[in-house]
Amino acid sequence: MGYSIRELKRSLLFVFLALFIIGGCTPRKVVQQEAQKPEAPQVQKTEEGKPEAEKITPPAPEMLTEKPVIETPVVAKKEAEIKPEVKKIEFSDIHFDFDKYDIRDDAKPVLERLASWLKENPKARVLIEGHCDERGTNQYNLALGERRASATKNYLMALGISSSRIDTVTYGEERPLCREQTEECWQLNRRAHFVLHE
Amino acid sequence: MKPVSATVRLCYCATVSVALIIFLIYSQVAADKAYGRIFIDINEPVPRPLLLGIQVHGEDPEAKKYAKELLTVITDDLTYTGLFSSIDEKLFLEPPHGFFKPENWRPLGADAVIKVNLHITQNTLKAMLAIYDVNEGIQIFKKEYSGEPGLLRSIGHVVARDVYKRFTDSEPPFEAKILYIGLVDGKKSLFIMDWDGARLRRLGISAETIISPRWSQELRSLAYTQRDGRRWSIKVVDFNTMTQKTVFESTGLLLSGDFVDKNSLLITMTELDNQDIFLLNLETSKTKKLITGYGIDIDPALSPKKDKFLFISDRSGSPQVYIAEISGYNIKRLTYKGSYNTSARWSPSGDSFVYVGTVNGKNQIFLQRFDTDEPVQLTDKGNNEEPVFSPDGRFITFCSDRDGIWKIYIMRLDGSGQRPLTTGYGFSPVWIK
Repeated sequence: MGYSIRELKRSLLFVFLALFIIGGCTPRKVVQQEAQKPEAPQVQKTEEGKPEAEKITPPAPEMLTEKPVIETPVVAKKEAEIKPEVKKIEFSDIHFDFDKYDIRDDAKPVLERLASWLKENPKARVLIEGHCDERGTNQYNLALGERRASATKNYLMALGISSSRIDTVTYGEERPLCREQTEECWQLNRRAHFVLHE
Repeated sequence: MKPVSATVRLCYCATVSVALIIFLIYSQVAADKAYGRIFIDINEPVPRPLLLGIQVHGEDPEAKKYAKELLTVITDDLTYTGLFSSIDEKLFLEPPHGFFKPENWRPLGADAVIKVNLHITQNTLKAMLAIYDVNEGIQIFKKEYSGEPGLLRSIGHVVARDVYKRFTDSEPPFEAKILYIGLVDGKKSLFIMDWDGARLRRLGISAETIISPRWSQELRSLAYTQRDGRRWSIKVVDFNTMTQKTVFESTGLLLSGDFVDKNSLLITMTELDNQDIFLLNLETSKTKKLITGYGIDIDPALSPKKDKFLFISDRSGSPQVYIAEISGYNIKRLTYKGSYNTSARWSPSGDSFVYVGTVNGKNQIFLQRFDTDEPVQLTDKGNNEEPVFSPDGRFITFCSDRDGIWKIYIMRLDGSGQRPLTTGYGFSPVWIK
């Protein structure tokens, strides 16, 4: 249990001894260091020897404008071109809440009218564009716009329209109808737009 | 009292003494290291900037024309880091061509003096750099650089790099480039500029929409996404050969993520109306689903160790930052403050990430350490998006509409020094070393 006074004294003696040895050495060491000047050898080397030389070559990206980009196209499946709008009839945009993609009640009558019109015109097809207001970030808005378009598509399918007649595309925040920083403007931009064609 | 053996007692005394000796020697070594050597510990939260006298001397009339621009490049690179400040040349007591005399610099408080001698022979610009330690009164570094005069700014960046390295023992991003999406005649186009916004060049790639550029330093390859009409495609540009390949196409949303290796790329893809995260095999074009859920899962960002990735999901009802193992398992939510957090990117050291969070209807950039869970807001003017770390992790580039149009900006890690790098439209900056 613990150490006697004598043992403590002995340990302290070791400590003092250590202190004495190091203490005695320390100042001399500093003097030695000063005399040596730690950086001196390097100075000598750089001053006497030839200085290190670095040849500058233009970094690779600087060559970019000099070489044309050669495109090696992947065999692309040619998608059916969307023909320009042929029908005179227009359906108004439907709107969404901020950061939401569920179909609001005020959108349902528009979608019901669109569904009946598509049933009466079996050759017609619809492209649904999903749009967002500018407030979100680009990538997320592209996903959100796609969600709005596909929620609209699913609603039309539930009303009996074949999915083969419906295409969707997201434009995210790329194509705003207006650019004011107001809730009215943002609401106009949070929309699904319909393009009818044959 | 239980007797303590002599051996144990001796051991005790010896241990204490040895520990003390080690401690004293260590302090001595530390003192030696500090002695005679100016050094900035860049890991200190706010290191005291080193005060530099920077002088460029044009030896002949031709070289004199380049001296001013070279001085500007070197000074701007070094001082923008916040680790160095420079003495106003009006205060100089010795001319740029004069021999270094410490007594000319001590009254100005200079820690070190940078002298560059510039001359032109046979259309080759030669710059001789010498660094002097004012306190010691000695030259501590000397090096010669040469190149055609058109590479003046490159020489400036390399000189600044060597000065930075001499005092910090770490690599600055002065020679790195920033790639971004610009606008030409209403079309998106890829541009490349120096880290300070100079020497802007077009890459010759444009489309109706270009989004999500990602760079792999290891592969020297760029992946980006393009939309033409309803068709989305992911392209890969190999900068070694300057050739481009379309690696994947779809009529549903596609977004390029980071390269995992030569043959695989993280991507966002819509499958059955669901935006999910996949690993795309670039050789076979086969995809492997990593993250799926009822909601939106997008924008994977690979960790520096390549063992995890960050992504954005609205599984909680609003977009938030999540982390997963590279297998797609062990999903954990990382952001809890605010209801709209997107665009997360790793720091090069892997100890923190930046992201965009909405505050009072505006998008701002936040930095969050993995060990604190406490985000730090770095911007507060206009909307600020697409943050990404510089290769050394000490700067963040981003884009902001604070001046009316989207431009590329840069700032230090603490949000200080925010300045635009482009004068025109710029989006989605990516660093290329």
